[in-house]
Amino acid sequence: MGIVSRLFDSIEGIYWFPVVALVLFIVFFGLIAVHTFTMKKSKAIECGTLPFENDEKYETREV
Amino acid sequence: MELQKFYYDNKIVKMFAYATIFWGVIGMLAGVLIATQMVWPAANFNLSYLTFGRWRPVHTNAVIFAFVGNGIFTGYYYSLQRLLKTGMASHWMTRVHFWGWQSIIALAAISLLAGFTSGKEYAELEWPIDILIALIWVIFGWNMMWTILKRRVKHLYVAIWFYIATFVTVAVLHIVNSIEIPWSLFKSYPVYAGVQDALVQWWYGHNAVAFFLTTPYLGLMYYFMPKAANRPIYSYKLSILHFWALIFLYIWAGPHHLLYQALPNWAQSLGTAFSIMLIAPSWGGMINGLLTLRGAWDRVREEPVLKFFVVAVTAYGMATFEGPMLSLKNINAISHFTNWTVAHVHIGALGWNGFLTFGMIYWLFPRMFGTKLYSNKLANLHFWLGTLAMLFYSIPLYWAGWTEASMWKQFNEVGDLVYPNYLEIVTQIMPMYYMRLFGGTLYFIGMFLLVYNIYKTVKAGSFVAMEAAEAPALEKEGPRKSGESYHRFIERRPIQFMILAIVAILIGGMVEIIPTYLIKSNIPTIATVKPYTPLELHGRDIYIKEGCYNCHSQMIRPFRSETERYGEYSKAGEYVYDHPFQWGSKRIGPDLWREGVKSGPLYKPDSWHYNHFMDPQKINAQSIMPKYPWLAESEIDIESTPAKIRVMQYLGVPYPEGYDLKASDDAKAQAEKIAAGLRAEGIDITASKQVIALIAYMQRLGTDVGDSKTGK
Repeated sequence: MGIVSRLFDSIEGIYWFPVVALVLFIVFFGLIAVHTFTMKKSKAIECGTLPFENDEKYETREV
Repeated sequence: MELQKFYYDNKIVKMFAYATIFWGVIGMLAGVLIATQMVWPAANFNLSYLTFGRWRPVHTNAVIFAFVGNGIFTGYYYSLQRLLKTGMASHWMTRVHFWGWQSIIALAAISLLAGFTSGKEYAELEWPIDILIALIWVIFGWNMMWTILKRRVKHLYVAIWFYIATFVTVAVLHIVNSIEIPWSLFKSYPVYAGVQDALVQWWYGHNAVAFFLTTPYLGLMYYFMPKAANRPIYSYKLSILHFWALIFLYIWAGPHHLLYQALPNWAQSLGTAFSIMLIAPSWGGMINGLLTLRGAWDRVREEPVLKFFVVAVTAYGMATFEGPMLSLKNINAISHFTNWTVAHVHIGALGWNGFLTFGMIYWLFPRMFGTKLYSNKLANLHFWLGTLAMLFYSIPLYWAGWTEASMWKQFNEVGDLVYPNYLEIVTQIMPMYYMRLFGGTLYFIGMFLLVYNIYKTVKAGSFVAMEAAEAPALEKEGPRKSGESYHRFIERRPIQFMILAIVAILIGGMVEIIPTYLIKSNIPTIATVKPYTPLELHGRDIYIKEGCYNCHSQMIRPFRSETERYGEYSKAGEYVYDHPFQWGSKRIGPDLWREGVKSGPLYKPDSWHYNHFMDPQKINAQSIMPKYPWLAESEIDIESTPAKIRVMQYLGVPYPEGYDLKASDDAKAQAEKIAAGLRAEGIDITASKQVIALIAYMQRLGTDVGDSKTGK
C-alpha cells in the first residue's frame, strides 16, 4: 500500500496511545454520566433557566 | 442581599453585529465571484488579484473568520454579560478585540489578494498576521476569563463552557499550526514538511471546523434558542454530556482528512472510529436544540427567528451525520477530492452557521434598539430564499461529486480508463457549476434583505449603549462542600474548569501530535529524493502564491484509477523537503504530482506549459483554468534566493554549506536554459520571468521517484 505505510509502527509503544486515551475517555465519560444522571432535577431546572432574567417570564415545559 | 447596579455593554455587541453583516456581504460576494469564475474563467479579467487561486482563500477566510467570527463575538458579548450578570471586565480590551479582529480581516484580504499566503488551507495568513491573531485572541480570552471571575452568578451556564473550550482550543490549534520561520518581512516557511505538515495542518483544519464553526455556535444555540423560544433548554443534563463528549471526541477525528494518504492504518481507523462516535454528542446537541421547541412548534410558523434556528440546528444534524459517513474509508475513497466535500461543508456553513447567525441578528437588533423587527415578512422571505439557495447549491454539487468519482474510476472491458481526458469530466459537471452559482447568488440576495430589514429596524428604534441591570453580589464561595459533586464544584470554579477542558482536548491532540514530532525519523528515506533547485524553489513559491493548490492536488492515492491516470502513487518519503506540503483537498483540475515524469501520462514539454499558463482555452477550449499572463511579465525575486536557502537549511533541508551564496547563480543558469529552449520553439521570453521558475517546478514534480513501470 505504499503511502498507506506503517509509518508510525516503529515508534515503541505507539499502540498504547489510543488505548490509554480511550480508557481515559471511558472513565471520564462514565464519571460525567454518573454525575449527570444523579443530579437533582431541581438543580437541573435551576441551571437550565440561567439564560432568563429573574423577572423574565418564560414558559415551562408543563405549559 | 443588597442589589448592585451595573451595565451591559451593548455597543460592543452592535459593533460586532455590524461587522458580521458587512463581512458577510463581502465573504458571500467573494463566493459568488469564484463560483462565476468556475463557469466563466475570464471573470478574472486577466488580473492577478482577481484570480480564483487568490479569491478562494479570501472567500473561505472572509466567511469563516470574518462573518462567522464576528457572529461568534456578537452573540458571545451579548450572552456572556447577561449569563454572568455583569458588564465586561475591561472596556478597552473589548475595543482592542474588535478593532484588532477587523484589522486582521482587512490585512488578510489585502495580503491574500497580493499573493502572500502560507499555502495551508484555512491557515493561509502569513507570519505577521499570525502573531497579531495570537495577541488579539489572548486579549479576547483574558477579558472573558476576567469577566467570568467577577460574575454575580454562582454557576456557569453550559453556553459559557463552550466559549471557554473554544478559547483554549483555538489558541492551541493556531499556535501549533503556525510555527514558521520567516525569510522576509511577509513570507515564511513552516517548520513542518510533507507528511508532518499534512498531519498538523489537518489536525488544525478539522478542529478549526470543530472549535470555530461548531463549539462557539453551540454556545450561542444554548443561549439564543431558549431565549427565542422563551423556554429553557430541553435537557440541561443532556447538555452536560453533549459538552464533554463533544470536546473530547472532536479533536481525534482529524485523520479522516488523510484517508488513503500518508498515515498508518491504525491512525486512519482511529480517526474514523472517533468520527463515528461523534454522531452521539452531535446529535445529542441537535436533539436538545430541536426539543427545546417541544410544545411551541406552532410559533415556528409565525416567527422567522425560530424558523432560522430550526433549519440551522437541522443542518447541523445533517452535516454531523454526513461527516462521519464521509470518514468511512469506502465512502471517502469516492468522495475525497470531489465536489461532494464542497456540498457537505456548505450544508454546515450556509445552514448551521449562516442561519443561526441570521436568526440571532433578527432577534438581537429589535432588543438592542427597543423596537420591533421592521418586517417579519421580509425576514420570512429571507428564510425561504436562503433555504432554496441551500438546495440549489448543495444538490447539484452532490450530483457533481458522484459524477466526478464515477468518471474518474470507470474502466472499459480491456482495462483502460473510459475518461482518460480530465476535461471530459470537467465538462460533464459544468451544468452543476451553473446551478451552484444560481444557489449561491440566491443566498447572497437574501443577505441584502437582511441588510435592508436591519437598517429599517435600526432607524425605527433607539439604541441603548449601556443597559442598566441589577443583581446581588456573588457570595464568596469556599472550597468544595461536603456532598457537593466534583462537577458541581468546578462549574463554579472557572479556572479549574478551563484546565479540565484543556486536558480533555489535549488527550486527543497529543495522540495525534506527538507522533508527528517523532515522524521525521520514521518516514522511509528515499535516496533519490533531493532538495529543490533554487529555481524550482522559486517556482514552488509562485505555485503557492497563485493558490494552485486550490484546484490541483499533489497526492496520488494507491487506487488503480489514479495510478492509471496520473502515474506511480505518492510515497511519504517524496515530500520530506516540502515546506509546506501541497497535497490539496479538491481536484477542480487534475492531480499534478507526476507532472514532470517524462514517461508518465501527464508529461508536457516546457512550451506546452508556457502556452497553457498564458491561455489555457487556446489549448483546450473547454478548460476552466484562468489565464496567467502576468507570469510572463513579473520578475523572479532572485534577490531573495540566499534567504530562502538559509531558512531551508535551518529547517534541515540538506543544501551544502555556503550554498546560499551560489544559489542565485544556479537559479539564473537553470532559468537561462529553460528560456533558451522556449526561444528555440519561437516563444519570446527572458529567463528572469516568473513563468520560467514555475515551469521548472512543474517539470520537477514527482521526478525523484519516477515511474515504476518504466523504471525511468
